[in-house]
Amino acid sequence: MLELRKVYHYYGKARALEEVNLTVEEGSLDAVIGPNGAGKSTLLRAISGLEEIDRGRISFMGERIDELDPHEIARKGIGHCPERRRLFYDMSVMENIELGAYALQDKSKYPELLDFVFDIFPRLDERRKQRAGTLSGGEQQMLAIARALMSNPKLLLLDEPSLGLAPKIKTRIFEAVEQIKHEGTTTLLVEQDAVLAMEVADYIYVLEEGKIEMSGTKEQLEREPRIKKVYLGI
Amino acid sequence: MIEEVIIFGTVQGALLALLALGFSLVYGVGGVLNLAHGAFYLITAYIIFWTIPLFGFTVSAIVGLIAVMGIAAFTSLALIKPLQDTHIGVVLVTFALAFFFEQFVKYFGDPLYHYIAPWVPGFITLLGINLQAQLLALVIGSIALVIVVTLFINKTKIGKSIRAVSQDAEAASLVGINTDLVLMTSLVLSALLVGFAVIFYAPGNYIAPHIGWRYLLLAFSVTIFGGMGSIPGSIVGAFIMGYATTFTDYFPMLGPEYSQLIPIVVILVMLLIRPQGLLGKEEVQ
Amino acid sequence: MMRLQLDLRSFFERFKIWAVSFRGSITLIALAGLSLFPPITRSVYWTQILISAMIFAIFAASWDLLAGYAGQVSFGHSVFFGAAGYVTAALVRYLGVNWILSLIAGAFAAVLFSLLIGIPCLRLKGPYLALGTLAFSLILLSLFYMGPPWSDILGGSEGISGLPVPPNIFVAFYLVLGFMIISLFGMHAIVESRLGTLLKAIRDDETCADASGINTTVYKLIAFMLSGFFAGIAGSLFVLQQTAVNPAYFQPLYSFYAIIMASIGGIATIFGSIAGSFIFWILSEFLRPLAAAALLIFATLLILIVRFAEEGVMNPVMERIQEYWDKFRGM
Repeated sequence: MLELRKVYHYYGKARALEEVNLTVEEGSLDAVIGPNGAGKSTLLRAISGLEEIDRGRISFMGERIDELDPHEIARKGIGHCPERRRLFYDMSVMENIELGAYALQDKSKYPELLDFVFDIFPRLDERRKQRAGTLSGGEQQMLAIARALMSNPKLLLLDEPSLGLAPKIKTRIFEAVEQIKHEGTTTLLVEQDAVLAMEVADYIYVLEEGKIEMSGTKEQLEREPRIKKVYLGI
Repeated sequence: MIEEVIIFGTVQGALLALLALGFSLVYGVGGVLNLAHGAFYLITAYIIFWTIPLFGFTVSAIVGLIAVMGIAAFTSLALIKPLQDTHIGVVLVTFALAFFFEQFVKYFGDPLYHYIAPWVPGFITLLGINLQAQLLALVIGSIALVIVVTLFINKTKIGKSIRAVSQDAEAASLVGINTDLVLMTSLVLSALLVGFAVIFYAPGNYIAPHIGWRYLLLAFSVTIFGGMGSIPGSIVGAFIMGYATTFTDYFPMLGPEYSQLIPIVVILVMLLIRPQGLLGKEEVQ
Repeated sequence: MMRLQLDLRSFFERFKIWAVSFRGSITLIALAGLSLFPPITRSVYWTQILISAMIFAIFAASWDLLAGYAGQVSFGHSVFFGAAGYVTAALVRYLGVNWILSLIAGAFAAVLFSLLIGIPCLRLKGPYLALGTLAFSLILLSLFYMGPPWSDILGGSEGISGLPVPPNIFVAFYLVLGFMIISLFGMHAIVESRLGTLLKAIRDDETCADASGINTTVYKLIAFMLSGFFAGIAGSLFVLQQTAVNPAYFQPLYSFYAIIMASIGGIATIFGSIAGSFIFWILSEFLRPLAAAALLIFATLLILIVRFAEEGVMNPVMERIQEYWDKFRGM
């Protein structure tokens, strides 16, 4: 469904992504793990058009998207829940959700999607009128995911959904991620917490210094001594 | 004196609100300081002035509004958007554009002062003060427009997308909002408000090629005062500035000449004490 | 003393390298040609125009120093020009001070104004700074246009006129030429020095410069003062040439002059300002029959340059000539 072929990206002279090859199959939940500053967020930003790649190609559903603007990519059906949530903090929960549905082509789906996100995150239903900036960290993360889901994306990009959250809320968010997977939304998850990510993901990529160093299923990666030592702490 | 300050302060505030609202909106959306904002006033006033003999005021006013909106759309697409990555490019090009319009009216018209007759004739008396009925129209029109624009920004889909872009342009593009189009929309909206400022305020006043700078300065000082990009801030700021300048006009020791200095004093004091403005939150970029 | 000698030697070494480089030799040849102009043509009329062009080359280069190198885009450059002009005119006219002392006083008055503008505007970046400086010039404009009691001091809309006419236009020409050469080489030396490197670092990434321990506030202020100083020299010279000063010098128009000349010559080049200013003045002369349209054409030109040719008009032309030059030298 999503395919990256030999993608390079530079920040000035610094290389942020180097020969990245990555494929996400329809219906699967894949994860990219790696240390801070490895280029994980840059990878997602390149997919959704926020960063222009310098070489390589990115295609989505058989169509090349690396030259499109972010809003066009969003309309193709990629929902990006960005790093650090990036909500519209001065707007209400409901307004954020409505804006999430901005690119929704089939407006008749709106009530259904609304039920879906409030089903996953009942907390948001209780706080419809509240200003997004006044929500707790966990609630903000829920809202950010909900906003990305409201466009009924074919592919959901989740950037560090557990960042800065208490362990209990982390678990809650990851339950939601699994629920979204069961509803059939293809997801690419970027996560620093490798244990959590490997728990939910079908296939995992390890990104280090802008390069995919390794990839495989949970079972395959667990056999790698280096992964065990660096990421799983065993 | 207090009556004069109330009446003429409100009039001045109504004018400033129309000038500052759009200016602040455009800054909020694209980080664009449109130095041609005052020139939009200038060119609309001259288009109306030139076409009145042909069509009469009503049609001229419509022509003026359409023209300035078209100019704004062109400015946004052809000049601002390609240069948006270099903020210096945007200020340079809008500065040049402001000059272009000043020279344009000088060349196709003349460098002299011209008078546009008020379209609301006569005088009325309020609180014992005589004022041009035109100015009352300005106050009513400005309040109506401010309400309409506020509703538009808060309730409509386009309005919400404008607010979304001004809060977080990147996040807005991720939900599928075309930020270039939103910038153009807000620039056209700001031109429309400036156009209405001309329709309500230019008749009964003098126009000349250099007046654009003064209106730019007014819009800038109000937005610095109220907070760049803050819509409530620019409205509140407009009226506070309106009363402050009028107070200076009527204060016994001072006079109208000194009220011209109010904008710079406001800009200076605000920059030193509270750079984010009265109701602004963001750090000055 | 030792160090000074070393510095001087390295300066001359660098000058030598520059002088035989393409741009250096073009600049030197052009300056030589310029200095031969009056004796060859004996045209008082054109000599006047070239004097103006040389004065504005200093002015445009001072804007380029601040905007192109330090990244502080000022739209209030007319303030330095006008302030220096007023001080010089007042000293010459009312106190009978010698012109060169008045000129120096004018330049320092401009430095004072650069602090006056620079300090409050330091917190401003990019477009804010541009508008903040523009606001300053507009206020000074209206201040100087004010009626009594202000006009008793500032001269109102009449300004100050009746300064002594320079006795010999050709002598004036060489004096201004000298001022231009010293000012431009001075500015060139500044941007090539360590200070210039620091300014460029601030321009390119202020946060980064700040983080690496550069006191950005101080350096930006220094840039303002230096730019103000040279703009002041230009303003004083212009007033001495025109033998009068009036509030119109504070108009945004004069800032526009600096910007368009620097843009034509290419921003962040310093010497480009000479070309920009000469093109501007000579073209203005040919556009004279069109009267008011001249400025309209220049405004359009500036829009087009900013929009399509960020490098300025001169840079690409120079590059083309350089190709031929290199070919010629290679033969």
